[in-house]
Amino acid sequence: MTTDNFGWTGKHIRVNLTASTITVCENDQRIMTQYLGARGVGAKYMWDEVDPKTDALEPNNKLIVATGPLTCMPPAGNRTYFVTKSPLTGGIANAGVGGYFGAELKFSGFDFIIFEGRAKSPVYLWINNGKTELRPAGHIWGKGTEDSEEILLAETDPMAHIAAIGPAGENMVRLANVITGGVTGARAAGRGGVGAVMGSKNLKAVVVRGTGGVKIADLKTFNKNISKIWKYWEDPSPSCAQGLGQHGTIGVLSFTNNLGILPTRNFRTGVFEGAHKISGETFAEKYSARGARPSKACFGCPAGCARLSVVNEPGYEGKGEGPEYESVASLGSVTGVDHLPAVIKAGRICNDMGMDTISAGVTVGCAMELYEIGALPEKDIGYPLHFGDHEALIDLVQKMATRDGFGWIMGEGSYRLGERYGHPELSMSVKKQELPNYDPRGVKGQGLAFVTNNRGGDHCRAEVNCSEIYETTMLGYWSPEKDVDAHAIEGKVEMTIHYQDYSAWAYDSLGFCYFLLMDTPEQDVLDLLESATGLKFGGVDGLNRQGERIFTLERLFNLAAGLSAKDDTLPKRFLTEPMPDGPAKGQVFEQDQLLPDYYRMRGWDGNGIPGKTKLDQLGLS
Amino acid sequence: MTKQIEINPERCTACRICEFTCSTHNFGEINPSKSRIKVRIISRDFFFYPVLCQQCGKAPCVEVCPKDALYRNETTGAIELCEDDCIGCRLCVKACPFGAMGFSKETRLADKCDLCGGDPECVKHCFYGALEFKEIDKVSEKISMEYIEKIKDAMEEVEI
Repeated sequence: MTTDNFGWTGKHIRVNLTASTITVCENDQRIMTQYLGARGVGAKYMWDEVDPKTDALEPNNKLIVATGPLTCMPPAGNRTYFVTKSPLTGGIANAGVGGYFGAELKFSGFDFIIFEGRAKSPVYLWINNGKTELRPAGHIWGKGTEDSEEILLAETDPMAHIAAIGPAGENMVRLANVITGGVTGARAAGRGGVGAVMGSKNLKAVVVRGTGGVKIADLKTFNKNISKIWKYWEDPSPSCAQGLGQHGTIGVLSFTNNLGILPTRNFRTGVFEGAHKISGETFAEKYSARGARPSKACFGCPAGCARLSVVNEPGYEGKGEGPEYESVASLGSVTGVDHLPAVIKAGRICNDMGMDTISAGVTVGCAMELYEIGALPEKDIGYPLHFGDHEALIDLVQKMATRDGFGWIMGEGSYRLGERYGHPELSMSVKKQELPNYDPRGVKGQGLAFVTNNRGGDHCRAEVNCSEIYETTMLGYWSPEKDVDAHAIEGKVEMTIHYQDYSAWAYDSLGFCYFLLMDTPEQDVLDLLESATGLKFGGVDGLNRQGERIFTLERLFNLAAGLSAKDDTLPKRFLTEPMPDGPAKGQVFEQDQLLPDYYRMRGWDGNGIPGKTKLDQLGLS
Repeated sequence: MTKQIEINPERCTACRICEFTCSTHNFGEINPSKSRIKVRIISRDFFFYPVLCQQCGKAPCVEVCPKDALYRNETTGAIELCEDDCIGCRLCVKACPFGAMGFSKETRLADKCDLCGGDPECVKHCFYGALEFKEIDKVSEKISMEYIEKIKDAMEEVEI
């Protein structure tokens, strides 16, 4: 079983941390073709091997670190997914990351790693091609991701790639993430508290060096297919596609503010008067190491959307990769902070501590609102906590990661913070996971995705906004001739479901970044997959069905874990408080109209439980 | 006039598509460790540099080779390796000041860039021009024009 592996490497590793054993296993080809890789394979192994009721931070939880069959291949196959039970939501977590880690894992000869149990003391996994070894990590426990990166490269191989947790993960902060590349090369597997699960297992890092190759079934056709996708990239619809290269994701901040959907002061409004001070334009002019042009790319991607920031202002000085739009909005407009050097510094702290910038920023925003309405006493924090206080932002982010004083409860996330002070409804979250930066009152399809995505408040598992606001031709809803009204609810249920199923296979399970697929028809992604693997997949419909199977399996996991229809809801603010000003003024999110239709179109009952017919159809009975 | 691959590191985004292209074109598999061009990264300084053979005029690899297995292809200007003559002693690997000489673990012989016979694939897929294939005169012409622009500006300022 070594000659006919195309796309996949054909092998994975099972690491039992309790027993300190590592087993190299052949992949089950049936699972790989049905669940593809990355998020899909992670969901399958979680369902088969983990009791959904298990406490996320107990040894019985498992962590699956998985690549897809197209990870390590242009035009943007570079993603790795960290799949586990989330300590934040109590449901499934799958946090994806780009960079070089996933490609390196494939070159070492493995598609994925399953971590089980808990090590007696801190360890890291060192994969040097076929050789694997658990090494003690006591000497880096407590260190930030930048220092950990440096020390681990020095004691393994300077060409290795690393995925590590920082102090936040070690302290089992529910917002902890996994960072690849340290601070200066940071890419984050951000959401769902996957870093806390690594911390609970005493697993500090995974270090990989691979010098092997990955084979493609039909290289000539594959290259033709890549060129085709590159053409869509070079000649996009009037989308933000190329803007991503020029300005990075931070470039969209002015755009969302102009649409009146930039979450501001804990989502009270969608217009931020300080937006121009934290915008992509201001960043490019003052802090971008390379100005407004492609700066850094993940493996095999022409976009180069990552930014490199250099700040010299005293008190905020430092270098780092980023900031991304989501980080700047969460740590900036959501907290009312318009001081960009402080926002960038808060982001760097998050990357060094290994903590999700979205959840961290929105949790600070929640604390500020609790303080301003008088629910959170000053004595608990130690100082007054108003929106816009950038010194408090930096202080709280640091304390959250280290669980210092008031930071302890903040490290539990905004929902548990709000609950403690009697106002859980002020947590801007779904399934206890903080919302990303699109006010759902002004983008209805994206809002429905927030409500129904399996990992909670999240945009990446269905980027409906690509059709609703970004004017890309993805999935064919928007075109230059046919606009999509972001405020309308008509057609949004179907659109959201389509995006969820497509996302489940095309980006998240193949290991692709969706940025490169914004103007790529579904058929071209399928062609790429078939030329890489040499297999046939029953057309686009067949793959969307596979996506639906992955999505539904995650739903079943969540239901078995104790989540239910009552968790499919946005915070009351979006349902009852009309947007107070800006272009989306007067809008609310019509959840009562959208959600029942969503359940019905999914083939689920009124309680959001997939019916027998649907499960039979998907082979999940 | 032979063309050279000109490296503009300030435009390199470290996407490593050149490594993909080189290894698939020359070895039929995705394998950056076999690629004859390698993007080296100094992460903390945001510095990315594609390292590859410079096809030097007075090439240390050619001079050090005890079997005269390395020679210049006069048509393309590339220094090429005659595998029949190479004994795999790796002196050329040590001699190359850029670390651009490769060594194949399979054949146990040296392995190097031959400019794909005069039409390098890596350059074709470099999106932002970090790699350019051009005549060396064009490089000096461009630099000298940029230089006199600066002189001109300086002189104009002095006159005011």
